[in-house]
Amino acid sequence: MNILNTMALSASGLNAQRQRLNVIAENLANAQVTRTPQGGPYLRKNVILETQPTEDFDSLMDSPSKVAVTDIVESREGLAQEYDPSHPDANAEGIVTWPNVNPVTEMVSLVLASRAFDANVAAFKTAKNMAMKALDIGH
Amino acid sequence: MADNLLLDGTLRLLEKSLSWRSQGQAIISGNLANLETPNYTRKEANFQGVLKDYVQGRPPIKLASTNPRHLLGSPVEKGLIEETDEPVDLDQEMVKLSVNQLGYQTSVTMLNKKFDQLKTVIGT
Amino acid sequence: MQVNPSGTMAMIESSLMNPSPSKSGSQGKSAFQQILADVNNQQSQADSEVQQSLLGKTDLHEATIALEKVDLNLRLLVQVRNKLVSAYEELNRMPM
Repeated sequence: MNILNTMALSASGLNAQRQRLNVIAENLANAQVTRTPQGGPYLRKNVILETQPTEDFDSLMDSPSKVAVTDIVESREGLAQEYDPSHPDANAEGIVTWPNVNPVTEMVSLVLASRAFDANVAAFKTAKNMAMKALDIGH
Repeated sequence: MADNLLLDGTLRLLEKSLSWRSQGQAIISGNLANLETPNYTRKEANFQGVLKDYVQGRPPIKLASTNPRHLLGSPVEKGLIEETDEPVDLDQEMVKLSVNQLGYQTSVTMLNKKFDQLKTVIGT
Repeated sequence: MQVNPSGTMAMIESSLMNPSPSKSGSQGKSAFQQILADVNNQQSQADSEVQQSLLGKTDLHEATIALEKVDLNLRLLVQVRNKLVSAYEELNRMPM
């Protein structure tokens, strides 16, 4: 595989982690939102990461694969409910439903995404250095 | 005759090792890109194996090209890429990244030295 | 001149020392033409390697190595030519 094509693999990793970071940021920002345009509290979003085969002319089975965010799903699990009739978004029984965003979980995901991002940056730089060194052959 | 000059065994070996290292980089990059992908198992580059095979003259296992349009320019040595059952270990992978890069740069430096020697002998 | 006797070095040495105009003019010429043809071949090969590399099909280092080989072959060619020319001139200087 051409060393330059290898950079595309790292680029896909950077892209995927960045999207993940965006989703985490959105979750954290909306952690207290009880009223959304669709009605109901904000629902926690999550990215689905999947491998993508590289469009290599070889199309070998063993070729390293890129990664991509194939879907962003909302989850209804773990919605917290609280009895607070004074809240403007309380329903008929006086129960307020809060978003299912757990800041601790989100921060852990943040750290993991950031770590993966950095790792891909390192891989990218390495590939670049190797390519530059190859251009030095004969000088 | 001019062709024979540069069929020096060491030159070919260095050239080959550059190709392997480059493929190794692809493998490591693929592993790192999929660091957080669920159910992904890491791939590994088996340098020692292909190096030994090459030095001992065993023919490498290459995938036959099924499509005549496919170029046989630099086929991936099938023996190089190994599948494992383990998830990607970040620390391990970063070490491999460094080692691989070092191997590549070493080969380039040695190649340059070889070329310098040849230039000296040729006399220009 | 004692040079590291690796296969490559020995071959270059011998080709520089014996451009063989002695056997007869014709053999020297054919050896030279052989080298010329080889260099031509290498050059077109290197060109295609560079193309493949730009298309992303083969690796970067293959192109640079091929170009370097062409460079070395050209230099060798020039040296061999110089030897042949000076051998020819020496022949001309021989008193008849």
